[in-house]
Amino acid sequence: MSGLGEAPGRPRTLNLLRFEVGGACFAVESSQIAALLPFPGPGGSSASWFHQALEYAETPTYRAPVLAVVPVEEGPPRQLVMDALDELLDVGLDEIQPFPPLIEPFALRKGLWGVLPRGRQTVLLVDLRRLLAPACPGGAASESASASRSLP
Amino acid sequence: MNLPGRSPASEQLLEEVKLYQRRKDVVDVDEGRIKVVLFRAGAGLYAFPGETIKEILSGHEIAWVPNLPAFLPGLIHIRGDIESVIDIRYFLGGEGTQPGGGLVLLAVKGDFRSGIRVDAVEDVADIPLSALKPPLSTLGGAARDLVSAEIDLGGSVIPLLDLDKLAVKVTL
Repeated sequence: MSGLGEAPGRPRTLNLLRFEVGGACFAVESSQIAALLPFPGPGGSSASWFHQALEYAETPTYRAPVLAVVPVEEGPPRQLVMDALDELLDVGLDEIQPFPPLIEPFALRKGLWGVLPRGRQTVLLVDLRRLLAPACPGGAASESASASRSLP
Repeated sequence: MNLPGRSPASEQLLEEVKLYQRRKDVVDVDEGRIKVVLFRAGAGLYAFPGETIKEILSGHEIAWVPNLPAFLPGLIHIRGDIESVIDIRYFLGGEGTQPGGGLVLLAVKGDFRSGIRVDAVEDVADIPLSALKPPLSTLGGAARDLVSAEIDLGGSVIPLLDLDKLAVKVTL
């Protein structure tokens, strides 16, 4: 999947995949996902679940889960259960804003790095590599494998 | 000189009127005033200094962000700018506001800038500085740490909250 695009004199653009989980809207840079696979069902995968990686307090309902293959810095690619992708977006970096200072420290811990305002919608940009990295404080990588076994 | 049984001459009355006006002007100059935003949070009535409240926003949906502490319900965007939102009730001893309700005050002071969610705005009022009293040492509850003064408003005592103190609390 393509990632960054750059045009002379214009802001760099990102190719984003937008999806929703539990009523919140997220987008990930398309280059972070190597493949999207059908979700084999809760018993057929040891993948991490997106909401567990982000430590949602409650388990949300997934409309149409898919399995995203995410290359990481070290080791084999990781698998992450996400909800179906809603939209492909080409977005200029000038359209993206950092989190407000009060929120940024909490957001960055979970790989959330920016905000895309779109009309009345607020899209949270997530770095899946950071989210799944073992070094990520409160890391999803170590805990999600076991947690996913108890999910529906 | 006034003649017995006659009312003062108009010149004298006018002098008295002017004297009264000058005294009134002096009183008005000496009596500083402060604008305050009176708002409701839970069962309580509180105020922020008006100079720190830049906008009163209604109908803005607060976007939830995972993993935030309870006093941060999320963020809003205002004409393309993203702002954090603090639920003031968390610090005033009440339960958090219900999703979808209330108003957001956009508060700015120095480097601190955030939306503050409240239940309702009751009034924006100019009050004389003499109405500000030091906070009672007996003032209890969670609000005590945020109060800089108390406003004596016609018999009602309303805590005036200090944005600097709130900023310290939320950035700890």
